[in-house]
Amino acid sequence: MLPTSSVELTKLRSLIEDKIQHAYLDKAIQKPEIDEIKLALLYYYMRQSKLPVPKIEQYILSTMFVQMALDIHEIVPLRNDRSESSTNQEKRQLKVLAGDYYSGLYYSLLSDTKDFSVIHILATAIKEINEYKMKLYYDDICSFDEVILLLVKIESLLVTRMISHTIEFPNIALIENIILVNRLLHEKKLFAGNNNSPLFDNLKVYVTNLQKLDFQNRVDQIISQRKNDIENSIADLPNKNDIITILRDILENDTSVAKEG
Amino acid sequence: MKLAKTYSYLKKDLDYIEKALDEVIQADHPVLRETSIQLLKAGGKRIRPVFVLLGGQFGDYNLERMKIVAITLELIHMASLVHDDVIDDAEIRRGEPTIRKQYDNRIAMYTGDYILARSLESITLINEKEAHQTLAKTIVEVCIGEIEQIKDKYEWDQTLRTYLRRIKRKTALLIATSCKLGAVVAGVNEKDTNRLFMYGYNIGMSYQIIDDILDFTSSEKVLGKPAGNDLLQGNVTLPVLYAMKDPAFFSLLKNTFANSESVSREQMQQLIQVLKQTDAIERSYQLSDMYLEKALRILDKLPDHRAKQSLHGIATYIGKRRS
Repeated sequence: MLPTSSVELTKLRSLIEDKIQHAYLDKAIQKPEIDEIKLALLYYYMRQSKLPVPKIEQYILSTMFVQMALDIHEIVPLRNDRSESSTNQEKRQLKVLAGDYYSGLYYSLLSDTKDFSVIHILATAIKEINEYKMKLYYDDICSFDEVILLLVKIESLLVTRMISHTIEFPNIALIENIILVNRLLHEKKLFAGNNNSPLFDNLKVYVTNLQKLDFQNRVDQIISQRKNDIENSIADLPNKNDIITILRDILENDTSVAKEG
Repeated sequence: MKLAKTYSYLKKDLDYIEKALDEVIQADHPVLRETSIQLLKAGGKRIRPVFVLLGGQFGDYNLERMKIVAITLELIHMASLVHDDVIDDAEIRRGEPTIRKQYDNRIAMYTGDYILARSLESITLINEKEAHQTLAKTIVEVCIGEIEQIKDKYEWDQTLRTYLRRIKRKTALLIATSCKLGAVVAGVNEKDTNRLFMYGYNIGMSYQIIDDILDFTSSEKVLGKPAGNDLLQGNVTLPVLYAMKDPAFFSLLKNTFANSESVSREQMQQLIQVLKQTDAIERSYQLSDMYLEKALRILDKLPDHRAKQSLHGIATYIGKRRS
């Protein structure tokens, strides 16, 4: 979790929750989680821009709406079970519609202020993400590195495109690494908890030539490598302490990054 | 008369738009490309592009700009169809297996999201704020309409107002928006733009009501699904709302759906038969006609133009639809 003391982040979180609030959806399906790391990264980078605060908020909210739309579509069951209960059927249906609704909110928010170029940037990112998702889901990928490469794009493209639009020369590799490490740690935690990580389950299918242990070792290796890369990158960042606070919260058990601050 | 004859002078422009649609959905991934093309080739009347072009005819008609709006509206419609098939668990669309049936839900979700993204990429080539605001509001409202439809399933005590608001969101708004966006982009004056929007809205309402009637009066062969399927899914449409005023139908309906998960074909046929014995179908057509007449009255106020005749022709065609 991110520091709840951050007034700005709390405000952004509330704004997102207010905007996506829908009485029936909220009752029938689990509210989508707000990806705290993506939110914090967007905020950290965008406040370095010369944009007025309302504009920053609008850009962050739009990006997060799209992220939530894509995330909820990801959990629509693969197949419709003929014997599914009416409650499960309704959940499936509402997950589809909730995603479409959040996509509509992003467009609606940006169309009110004539931000057509940003609508375009996010739409292009959605298009590309779906191309990558198809590749990851449908193609026979035998290389672990390729899987990670696709995962990075799928997870970070919205955020990196939006940040690149608002500030000059952001460290894209750093953003990608933070998002990737956060995702892999999250999945690892899930896996350790109940042996059930949707991502790892999928990856195991694709990475057919790796044994389970090898697979786990590779994931740990990637996390370790990328953590080192992150540590090396943050030295030159402005407002370094802010990003270190973010990182400390992600990399829960790793204090090395935090100590540097 | 065939519907396409009412706007035959637009054929060349519509062919141009068809080609543009084909180009815009050429995804890099072969399966994504195939699923998108499959949706496009499944056809449909392209009625939304037609309304865009006709709306634009009342102003400074620039085909390149019309094309952008027309393909956007059609892509949004296509994206909603592929997601609707996941929602409805549909296996066949226009005689072909649906994407979710042929592949799975995930591929259908990716295809829909991809197509929606292409549509939004496309519309950003247009700079009119009003066009974007109208379209964005419509996309959100259409989603809310579909969510409401799920919420209102098996709610036998819902009002006519609830039904009308639902079909407005579900169908009428996208048609109204097609007419309006064509006009906005062609710089049509505000009054006529609003008239075109209201024409589209009333036509859309009439169209959906007739669709809901046909669910009971048409054959399985024509519908591509069993008659009464909407009701079987729990959707309370206009004929049902009217028929429920009849105690015999209402009682049968309640009994039939006492256990909604095991309604047999015979039970549905009996319900349809009893519904047809009430005045529900006739009254539903009357309400559809009322919307149609309203559309025609609005049309009268538009300047004389051959597009006006086409819009008149479309309205008449819709009103006469009986199968």
